Amino acid sequence: MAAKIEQLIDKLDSYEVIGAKIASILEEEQANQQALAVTAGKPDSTLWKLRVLRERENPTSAFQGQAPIADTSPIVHVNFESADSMLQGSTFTLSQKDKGFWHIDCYGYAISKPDGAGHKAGDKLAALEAQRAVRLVRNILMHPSYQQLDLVGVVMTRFPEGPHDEYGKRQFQPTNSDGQPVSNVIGIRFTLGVTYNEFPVENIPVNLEELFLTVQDETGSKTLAEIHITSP
Amino acid sequence: MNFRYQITDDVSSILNGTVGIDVTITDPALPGSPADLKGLSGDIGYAMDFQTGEMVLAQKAHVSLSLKDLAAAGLGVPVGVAEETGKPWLVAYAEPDQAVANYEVKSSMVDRSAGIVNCQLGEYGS
Repeated sequence: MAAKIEQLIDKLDSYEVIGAKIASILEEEQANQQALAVTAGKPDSTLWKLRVLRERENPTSAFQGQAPIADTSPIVHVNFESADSMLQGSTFTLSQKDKGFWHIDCYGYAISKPDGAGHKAGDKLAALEAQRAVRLVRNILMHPSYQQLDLVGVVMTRFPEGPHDEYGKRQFQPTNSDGQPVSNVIGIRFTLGVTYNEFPVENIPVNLEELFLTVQDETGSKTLAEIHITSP
Repeated sequence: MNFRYQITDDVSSILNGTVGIDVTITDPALPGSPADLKGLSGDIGYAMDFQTGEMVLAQKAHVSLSLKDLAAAGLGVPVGVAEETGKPWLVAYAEPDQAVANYEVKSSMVDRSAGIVNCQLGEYGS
Protein backbone atom coordinates (compact mmCIF):
# COMPACT_ATOMS: atom_id res chain seq x y z
CA MET A 1 0.00 0.00 0.00
CA ALA A 2 1.40 3.40 -0.91
CA ALA A 3 1.53 6.13 1.74
CA LYS A 4 -1.08 8.83 1.27
CA ILE A 5 0.32 11.65 3.37
CA GLU A 6 2.64 13.64 1.17
CA GLN A 7 3.85 16.22 3.65
CA LEU A 8 6.17 15.78 6.62
CA ILE A 9 4.43 15.90 10.01
CA ASP A 10 6.57 18.62 11.45
CA LYS A 11 4.27 20.54 13.74
CA LEU A 12 3.49 20.35 17.44
CA ASP A 13 0.11 19.09 18.54
CA SER A 14 -1.94 21.52 20.59
CA TYR A 15 -1.52 19.53 23.82
CA GLU A 16 2.27 19.82 23.50
CA VAL A 17 2.00 23.58 22.97
CA ILE A 18 -0.36 23.94 25.94
CA GLY A 19 1.97 22.09 28.33
CA ALA A 20 4.89 24.27 27.33
CA LYS A 21 2.70 27.37 27.56
CA ILE A 22 1.53 26.63 31.11
CA ALA A 23 5.13 26.25 32.24
CA SER A 24 6.30 29.42 30.48
CA ILE A 25 3.38 31.48 31.87
CA LEU A 26 4.25 30.38 35.41
CA GLU A 27 7.95 31.03 34.84
CA GLU A 28 7.44 34.55 33.48
CA GLU A 29 4.77 35.60 35.96
CA GLN A 30 6.67 34.40 39.04
CA ALA A 31 9.69 36.44 37.94
CA ASN A 32 7.43 39.45 37.43
CA GLN A 33 5.80 38.91 40.81
CA GLN A 34 9.21 39.06 42.47
CA ALA A 35 9.95 42.31 40.65
CA LEU A 36 6.58 43.73 41.72
CA ALA A 37 7.31 42.70 45.31
CA VAL A 38 10.59 44.63 45.18
CA THR A 39 8.79 47.68 43.75
CA ALA A 40 6.16 47.42 46.47
CA GLY A 41 8.87 47.42 49.12
CA LYS A 42 8.15 43.92 50.40
CA PRO A 43 10.89 42.76 52.78
CA ASP A 44 11.31 39.35 51.11
CA SER A 45 10.59 39.17 47.39
CA THR A 46 11.60 35.49 47.29
CA LEU A 47 8.22 34.67 48.83
CA TRP A 48 6.91 35.07 45.26
CA LYS A 49 9.54 32.79 43.78
CA LEU A 50 8.60 29.50 42.14
CA ARG A 51 10.99 27.04 40.50
CA VAL A 52 9.12 25.72 37.48
CA LEU A 53 9.91 22.34 35.98
CA ARG A 54 8.16 20.33 33.31
CA GLU A 55 7.77 16.60 32.65
CA ARG A 56 10.46 15.50 35.09
CA GLU A 57 10.85 12.15 36.76
CA ASN A 58 12.20 13.54 40.03
CA PRO A 59 11.32 17.22 40.25
CA THR A 60 12.16 17.51 43.94
CA SER A 61 15.81 16.50 43.68
CA ALA A 62 16.76 20.04 44.73
CA PHE A 63 15.33 19.29 48.19
CA GLN A 64 17.78 16.49 48.72
CA GLY A 65 20.91 16.82 50.73
CA GLN A 66 21.81 17.73 54.24
CA ALA A 67 20.30 20.87 55.70
CA PRO A 68 20.71 23.76 55.30
CA ILE A 69 19.66 23.64 51.66
CA ALA A 70 20.62 26.78 49.75
CA ASP A 71 17.33 27.38 47.95
CA THR A 72 14.16 26.25 49.71
CA SER A 73 11.68 28.06 47.44
CA PRO A 74 8.76 25.88 46.28
CA ILE A 75 9.10 23.68 43.22
CA VAL A 76 6.28 23.62 40.68
CA HIS A 77 6.16 20.65 38.34
CA VAL A 78 3.97 20.80 35.22
CA ASN A 79 3.13 17.45 33.68
CA PHE A 80 0.57 16.23 31.19
CA GLU A 81 -1.95 13.74 32.58
CA SER A 82 -4.41 12.78 29.86
CA ALA A 83 -6.65 14.04 27.08
CA ASP A 84 -9.71 12.80 25.28
CA SER A 85 -11.51 13.90 22.13
CA MET A 86 -15.16 14.88 22.27
CA LEU A 87 -17.41 13.81 19.43
CA GLN A 88 -19.54 16.92 19.80
CA GLY A 89 -17.66 19.82 18.37
CA SER A 90 -15.27 17.66 16.36
CA THR A 91 -15.11 16.74 12.70
CA PHE A 92 -13.65 13.61 11.21
CA THR A 93 -11.61 15.48 8.62
CA LEU A 94 -10.57 18.79 10.16
CA SER A 95 -10.23 19.68 13.83
CA GLN A 96 -11.10 17.69 16.94
CA LYS A 97 -12.30 19.23 20.16
CA ASP A 98 -10.22 17.80 23.00
CA LYS A 99 -10.30 18.02 26.79
CA GLY A 100 -6.90 17.64 28.43
CA PHE A 101 -5.63 17.71 32.01
CA TRP A 102 -2.34 19.02 33.30
CA HIS A 103 -1.07 18.34 36.80
CA ILE A 104 0.73 21.25 38.37
CA ASP A 105 2.31 19.73 41.48
CA CYS A 106 3.51 22.29 44.00
CA TYR A 107 6.10 21.10 46.53
CA GLY A 108 6.92 22.95 49.70
CA TYR A 109 10.02 22.24 51.78
CA ALA A 110 10.85 23.22 55.34
CA ILE A 111 12.60 21.84 58.39
CA SER A 112 11.78 22.40 62.02
CA LYS A 113 13.67 25.12 63.80
CA PRO A 114 13.84 26.65 67.26
CA ASP A 115 11.50 29.52 68.07
CA GLY A 116 12.20 31.01 71.47
CA ALA A 117 11.14 28.53 74.12
CA GLY A 118 9.32 26.46 71.52
CA HIS A 119 9.88 25.47 67.93
CA LYS A 120 8.36 25.86 64.47
CA ALA A 121 7.28 22.48 63.12
CA GLY A 122 8.81 21.65 59.75
CA ASP A 123 5.85 19.62 58.50
CA LYS A 124 3.49 22.54 59.11
CA LEU A 125 5.90 25.01 57.50
CA ALA A 126 6.31 22.73 54.48
CA ALA A 127 2.53 22.55 54.07
CA LEU A 128 2.25 26.34 54.27
CA GLU A 129 5.00 26.67 51.66
CA ALA A 130 3.13 24.34 49.31
CA GLN A 131 -0.12 26.23 49.90
CA ARG A 132 1.58 29.52 49.12
CA ALA A 133 2.91 28.04 45.88
CA VAL A 134 -0.57 26.83 44.86
CA ARG A 135 -1.94 30.26 45.71
CA LEU A 136 0.44 31.84 43.21
CA VAL A 137 -0.18 29.15 40.58
CA ARG A 138 -3.96 29.44 40.80
CA ASN A 139 -3.97 33.23 40.75
CA ILE A 140 -1.67 33.29 37.73
CA LEU A 141 -3.41 30.65 35.61
CA MET A 142 -6.93 31.75 36.48
CA HIS A 143 -6.22 35.43 35.83
CA PRO A 144 -8.58 36.82 33.17
CA SER A 145 -5.55 37.64 31.00
CA TYR A 146 -4.93 33.92 30.62
CA GLN A 147 -8.46 32.81 29.86
CA GLN A 148 -7.17 31.12 26.73
CA LEU A 149 -3.60 30.68 27.99
CA ASP A 150 -2.42 33.14 25.33
CA LEU A 151 -3.38 30.55 22.69
CA VAL A 152 -6.34 32.19 20.97
CA GLY A 153 -7.74 29.93 18.28
CA VAL A 154 -6.38 26.84 20.03
CA VAL A 155 -7.62 26.99 23.63
CA MET A 156 -11.30 27.54 24.30
CA THR A 157 -11.47 27.33 28.09
CA ARG A 158 -9.41 26.36 31.13
CA PHE A 159 -10.70 25.48 34.59
CA PRO A 160 -9.32 23.92 37.79
CA GLU A 161 -10.69 20.38 37.63
CA GLY A 162 -9.35 16.87 37.63
CA PRO A 163 -10.13 13.89 35.41
CA HIS A 164 -12.04 10.84 36.61
CA ASP A 165 -13.75 12.76 39.40
CA GLU A 166 -10.41 13.85 40.88
CA TYR A 167 -10.22 17.12 42.76
CA GLY A 168 -8.90 20.27 41.15
CA LYS A 169 -6.69 20.85 44.19
CA ARG A 170 -5.44 18.08 46.47
CA GLN A 171 -2.75 18.00 49.15
CA PHE A 172 -0.61 14.89 49.46
CA GLN A 173 2.02 13.66 51.86
CA PRO A 174 4.80 11.65 50.23
CA THR A 175 5.97 8.59 52.12
CA ASN A 176 9.14 6.53 51.93
CA SER A 177 9.34 2.87 50.98
CA ASP A 178 8.47 1.89 54.57
CA GLY A 179 5.29 3.94 54.42
CA GLN A 180 6.69 6.56 56.75
CA PRO A 181 5.74 10.15 55.88
CA VAL A 182 8.50 12.33 54.56
CA SER A 183 8.05 15.29 56.80
CA ASN A 184 10.25 17.85 55.06
CA VAL A 185 8.22 17.91 51.85
CA ILE A 186 4.49 18.37 51.29
CA GLY A 187 2.86 18.45 47.87
CA ILE A 188 -0.35 19.96 46.55
CA ARG A 189 -1.63 18.92 43.16
CA PHE A 190 -3.43 21.63 41.17
CA THR A 191 -5.04 20.16 38.07
CA LEU A 192 -5.99 22.34 35.11
CA GLY A 193 -8.57 21.07 32.66
CA VAL A 194 -8.22 22.67 29.22
CA THR A 195 -10.62 22.46 26.28
CA TYR A 196 -8.82 23.02 22.99
CA ASN A 197 -8.68 22.19 19.31
CA GLU A 198 -6.37 19.70 17.71
CA PHE A 199 -5.66 20.29 14.04
CA PRO A 200 -4.50 17.75 11.46
CA VAL A 201 -1.72 18.22 9.00
CA GLU A 202 -3.21 20.27 6.15
CA ASN A 203 -3.56 18.61 2.77
CA ILE A 204 -1.62 20.10 -0.11
CA PRO A 205 -4.20 22.27 -1.92
CA VAL A 206 -5.13 21.38 -5.50
CA ASN A 207 -4.63 24.35 -7.86
CA LEU A 208 -7.48 25.22 -10.17
CA GLU A 209 -6.26 25.52 -13.69
CA GLU A 210 -8.67 28.23 -14.71
CA LEU A 211 -11.72 29.83 -13.20
CA PHE A 212 -14.23 32.17 -14.84
CA LEU A 213 -16.69 34.01 -12.66
CA THR A 214 -19.44 36.25 -14.01
CA VAL A 215 -21.56 38.30 -11.65
CA GLN A 216 -24.89 39.41 -13.15
CA ASP A 217 -27.89 41.29 -11.83
CA GLU A 218 -31.03 39.42 -10.94
CA THR A 219 -32.49 39.81 -14.44
CA GLY A 220 -29.43 38.25 -16.00
CA SER A 221 -29.28 41.01 -18.54
CA LYS A 222 -26.50 43.06 -17.02
CA THR A 223 -23.03 41.81 -16.18
CA LEU A 224 -21.74 43.43 -13.02
CA ALA A 225 -18.31 41.86 -12.89
CA GLU A 226 -16.14 39.25 -14.49
CA ILE A 227 -13.31 37.46 -12.70
CA HIS A 228 -10.79 35.32 -14.48
CA ILE A 229 -8.32 33.28 -12.38
CA THR A 230 -5.59 31.26 -13.99
CA SER A 231 -2.97 29.04 -12.44
CA PRO A 232 0.52 30.58 -12.20
CA MET B 1 18.39 -14.49 83.91
CA ASN B 2 14.97 -13.90 82.40
CA PHE B 3 15.19 -14.20 78.63
CA ARG B 4 13.52 -10.83 78.05
CA TYR B 5 16.06 -9.08 80.25
CA GLN B 6 18.86 -10.94 78.45
CA ILE B 7 17.64 -9.64 75.12
CA THR B 8 17.54 -6.08 76.47
CA ASP B 9 21.10 -6.41 77.79
CA ASP B 10 22.27 -7.90 74.50
CA VAL B 11 20.80 -5.02 72.47
CA SER B 12 22.62 -2.53 74.66
CA SER B 13 25.87 -4.51 74.31
CA ILE B 14 25.54 -4.70 70.54
CA LEU B 15 24.91 -0.98 70.14
CA ASN B 16 27.75 -0.11 72.50
CA GLY B 17 30.09 -2.46 70.68
CA THR B 18 31.28 -1.90 67.13
CA VAL B 19 27.83 -1.52 65.59
CA GLY B 20 26.53 1.71 67.11
CA ILE B 21 27.61 5.23 66.27
CA ASP B 22 27.81 8.26 68.55
CA VAL B 23 24.40 9.86 69.06
CA THR B 24 23.72 12.89 71.21
CA ILE B 25 20.13 13.05 72.40
CA THR B 26 18.38 15.82 74.32
CA ASP B 27 15.21 15.26 76.31
CA PRO B 28 13.05 18.44 76.13
CA ALA B 29 12.37 17.93 79.85
CA LEU B 30 16.15 18.28 80.43
CA PRO B 31 17.14 20.89 77.80
CA GLY B 32 20.60 21.62 79.20
CA SER B 33 21.60 17.98 79.67
CA PRO B 34 22.18 16.18 76.37
CA ALA B 35 23.21 12.55 76.71
CA ASP B 36 25.80 10.75 74.60
CA LEU B 37 24.64 7.28 73.63
CA LYS B 38 25.32 4.73 70.93
CA GLY B 39 22.71 4.06 68.28
CA LEU B 40 22.01 2.58 64.85
CA SER B 41 21.25 5.17 62.17
CA GLY B 42 19.81 5.11 58.70
CA ASP B 43 19.17 7.77 56.07
CA ILE B 44 17.05 6.94 53.03
CA GLY B 45 16.83 9.33 50.10
CA TYR B 46 13.85 8.02 48.13
CA ALA B 47 10.18 8.66 48.59
CA MET B 48 7.04 7.90 46.67
CA ASP B 49 3.65 9.44 46.97
CA PHE B 50 1.22 6.59 46.63
CA GLN B 51 -1.71 8.87 46.02
CA THR B 52 -0.30 10.49 42.93
CA GLY B 53 2.38 7.96 41.99
CA GLU B 54 4.92 10.75 41.79
CA MET B 55 8.45 10.30 43.05
CA VAL B 56 9.40 12.85 45.67
CA LEU B 57 13.02 12.98 46.69
CA ALA B 58 13.72 13.85 50.30
CA GLN B 59 15.82 12.52 53.11
CA LYS B 60 14.26 10.34 55.78
CA ALA B 61 16.57 9.55 58.67
CA HIS B 62 16.04 7.30 61.66
CA VAL B 63 18.01 6.18 64.69
CA SER B 64 17.52 3.17 66.97
CA LEU B 65 18.44 3.41 70.63
CA SER B 66 18.56 1.02 73.57
CA LEU B 67 15.79 1.55 76.14
CA LYS B 68 18.22 0.34 78.81
CA ASP B 69 20.77 3.02 77.82
CA LEU B 70 18.14 5.75 77.79
CA ALA B 71 16.98 4.79 81.26
CA ALA B 72 20.55 4.61 82.54
CA ALA B 73 21.10 8.17 81.26
CA GLY B 74 18.04 9.35 83.17
CA LEU B 75 16.04 10.02 79.99
CA GLY B 76 12.51 9.16 79.06
CA VAL B 77 11.49 7.41 75.83
CA PRO B 78 11.75 9.77 72.83
CA VAL B 79 8.46 10.67 71.21
CA GLY B 80 7.31 13.14 68.60
CA VAL B 81 6.23 16.51 69.97
CA ALA B 82 3.40 18.12 68.01
CA GLU B 83 2.94 21.19 70.20
CA GLU B 84 5.10 24.09 69.08
CA THR B 85 5.11 25.72 72.51
CA GLY B 86 7.98 23.47 73.62
CA LYS B 87 11.09 21.95 72.14
CA PRO B 88 11.06 18.52 70.49
CA TRP B 89 13.42 15.63 71.32
CA LEU B 90 16.70 16.54 69.62
CA VAL B 91 19.17 14.07 68.13
CA ALA B 92 22.58 14.81 66.65
CA TYR B 93 24.87 12.40 64.88
CA ALA B 94 27.12 12.21 61.85
CA GLU B 95 26.92 9.78 58.94
CA PRO B 96 30.40 8.60 57.84
CA ASP B 97 30.47 10.98 54.85
CA GLN B 98 28.84 13.99 56.50
CA ALA B 99 29.29 16.51 59.28
CA VAL B 100 27.17 16.23 62.42
CA ALA B 101 23.55 16.89 61.58
CA ASN B 102 20.81 18.00 63.92
CA TYR B 103 17.45 16.26 63.93
CA GLU B 104 14.21 16.25 65.84
CA VAL B 105 12.27 13.12 66.69
CA LYS B 106 9.13 13.15 64.51
CA SER B 107 7.76 9.87 65.80
CA SER B 108 8.97 6.75 67.58
CA MET B 109 8.13 3.08 67.74
CA VAL B 110 9.00 1.22 70.91
CA ASP B 111 9.67 -2.52 70.96
CA ARG B 112 9.89 -3.48 74.60
CA SER B 113 10.34 -7.13 73.71
CA ALA B 114 13.71 -6.23 72.24
CA GLY B 115 14.40 -3.22 74.45
CA ILE B 116 14.80 -0.86 71.55
CA VAL B 117 13.12 2.31 70.26
CA ASN B 118 13.23 3.37 66.62
CA CYS B 119 12.98 7.12 66.14
CA GLN B 120 11.95 8.65 62.81
CA LEU B 121 13.85 11.91 62.43
CA GLY B 122 13.30 15.20 60.71
CA GLU B 123 16.00 17.76 60.09
CA TYR B 124 16.19 20.53 62.65
CA GLY B 125 17.55 23.94 61.79
CA SER B 126 19.38 26.53 63.82
